[in-house]
Amino acid sequence: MNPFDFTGPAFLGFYWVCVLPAVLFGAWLLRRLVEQGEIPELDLSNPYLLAYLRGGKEQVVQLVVVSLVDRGLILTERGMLAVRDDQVAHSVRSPLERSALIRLRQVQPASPDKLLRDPFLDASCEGLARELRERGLLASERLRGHRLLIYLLSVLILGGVALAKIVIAVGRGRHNIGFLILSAVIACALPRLWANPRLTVLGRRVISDMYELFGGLRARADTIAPGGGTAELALLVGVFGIAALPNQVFPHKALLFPAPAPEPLGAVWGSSDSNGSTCSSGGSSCSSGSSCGSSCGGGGGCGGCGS
Amino acid sequence: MRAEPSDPARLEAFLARLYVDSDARAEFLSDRGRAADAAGLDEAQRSAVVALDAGALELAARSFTHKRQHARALRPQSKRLPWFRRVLAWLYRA
Amino acid sequence: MRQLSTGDRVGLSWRSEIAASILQHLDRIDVVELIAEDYFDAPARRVRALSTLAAQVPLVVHGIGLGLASASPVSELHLDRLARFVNRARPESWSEHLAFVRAGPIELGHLAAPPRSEATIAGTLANLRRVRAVVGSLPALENVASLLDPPGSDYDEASWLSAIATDSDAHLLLDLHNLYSNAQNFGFEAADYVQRVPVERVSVVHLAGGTWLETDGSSGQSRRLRLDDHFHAVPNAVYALLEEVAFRAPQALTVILERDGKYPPFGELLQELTLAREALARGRARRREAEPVRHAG
Repeated sequence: MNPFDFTGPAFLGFYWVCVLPAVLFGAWLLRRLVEQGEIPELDLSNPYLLAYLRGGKEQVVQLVVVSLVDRGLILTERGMLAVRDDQVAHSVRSPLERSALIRLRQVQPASPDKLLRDPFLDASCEGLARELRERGLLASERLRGHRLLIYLLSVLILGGVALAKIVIAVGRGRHNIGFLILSAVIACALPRLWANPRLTVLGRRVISDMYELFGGLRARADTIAPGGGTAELALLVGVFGIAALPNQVFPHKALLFPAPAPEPLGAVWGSSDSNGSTCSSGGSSCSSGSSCGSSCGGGGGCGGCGS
Repeated sequence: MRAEPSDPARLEAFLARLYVDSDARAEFLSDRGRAADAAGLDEAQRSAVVALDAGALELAARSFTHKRQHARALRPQSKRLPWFRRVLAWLYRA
Repeated sequence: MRQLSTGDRVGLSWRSEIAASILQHLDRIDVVELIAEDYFDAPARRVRALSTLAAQVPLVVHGIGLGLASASPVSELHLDRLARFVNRARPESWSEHLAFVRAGPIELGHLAAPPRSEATIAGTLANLRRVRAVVGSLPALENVASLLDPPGSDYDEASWLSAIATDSDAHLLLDLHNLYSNAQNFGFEAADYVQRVPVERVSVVHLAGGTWLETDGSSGQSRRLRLDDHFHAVPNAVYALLEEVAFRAPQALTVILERDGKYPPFGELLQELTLAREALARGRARRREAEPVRHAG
């Protein structure tokens, strides 16, 4: 039975039910093969690296603000930020934090949103991006090239099958090809929607694993001591985003980062992975509340080896 | 009950009961010889358990209770096993 | 050329409460030990995350529920689950206790020292043969602490442990706080024990802390017994034992600090790792001084 001999509706059915899913699955598989790799060593003590991996510059800026406010280096009033004093930039070791303090001193008072739109942190973030690309967690130019090839191959197959049927149909004197042309256009456009996310397959895997490994920290987030005595607050926000930050640990959250208005329909279709703010893909190990003392990240201990 | 000569598993089971069963422990401490005979221990095993340090036994039992509760709280098992794994576990034990 | 011991490593047990701190300080932690049973019922993504952890720091696995040292066979179900986890996690090595955890239908829920007899030696060896067949490798065998000297024991602990290690060809995990506790509780010299066990088989060392319990002795006088609870700092006597082991052992050692609760600020745990490294260094230095210098050619 030759599918190209199918009548119009039957061939459309074959195209949507067999050809398109097969091509999409093949493209997905090929991308996984290309983007898989050995899990790299990461500097897990750098919350900015983890934040950038998870959600790009926006997450880094949010983390910088939270960390510096928590440590008293930035003061906040009614959602606006200002440095504590003129010398404060000299008291931090992180170049990224120093850049943020220097810039804030120039533009203060400023909202976190204004800092996000300011290009001052672009160079620092590019450094983080470069490191993550080198580790295969963010898509590099070379990888984007491979993805484009896979996409073009998908289009070639989808378009080619449709074109072949069109040629055969026209050759047999059938001209009801409108729906087939429309189907081919839509089918070729569909893979483009998720053809080029910023994260690689390996990057998404590492984020998911980070949610598990740091799950114990999220479970006891409300016990984190504010004031910057430890790096736990920064790590919490770096890995999970500000949504994981309890209000009692960081009371300025609502004013500094008001919850966004609901997105209009149609904004859902994007190629970005910058969800960032929740452990939606893997943090649910901590959603069961009381059991998280050991279940997050594993670790009940043996409680002593013997009686 | 007449014991099989020197059944080491019987001694382990007797010890295990003393650790986890407070009634069995109280019964043992009130009449050690009788408890050992009832468990079917042989002569050598009987002599050994009769000489057990009562204070240490109580402490050990308490420690086991505490550690068992601690472990159960951290790793609740049977409630979280799906039904088919519970069936598998039952088949293994049968 | 002088023979030197190199490759000693010091690490921590992986616990969710201190996991974030461990990940932050991997520059000071050489190895991390996982409890196998923590992952038996864990979601697949949690087990999968161990691959990412393994990419950051070497992993070893520690079992706590097999019940190897028994006259009775181990639970096949537990062994199967342990084997699946060990083969999934692919650690550098794994370990288990020389203890029994169940007897017939009775589940102790924790580790008990068995009677040290021919029967438990034979039973342990049979269990180890079964373990090797199912898991594909032998665990390092850990000595356990006990408040009660197991009745029906014909061997002292050092001899019993040595017999099992030698006949099975397994490595040893020497838990020095367990050793210290038993020495305190049953009146033998811990240093003597270290001299008598096959130290060349020790691949892993555990350090931990405990507490003292008061009880009425048989004669009515109050007695103190040492409880190994993993809730306290490592006592100096245990570091001294570590130095002794490092002096005697020609092979590299992996030292794991076990802490299961009452966590101090993480800096204190890092300081304990430093003390462990210093004890190892002292032992190794003594070993180098004691060994004859071999000249090349």
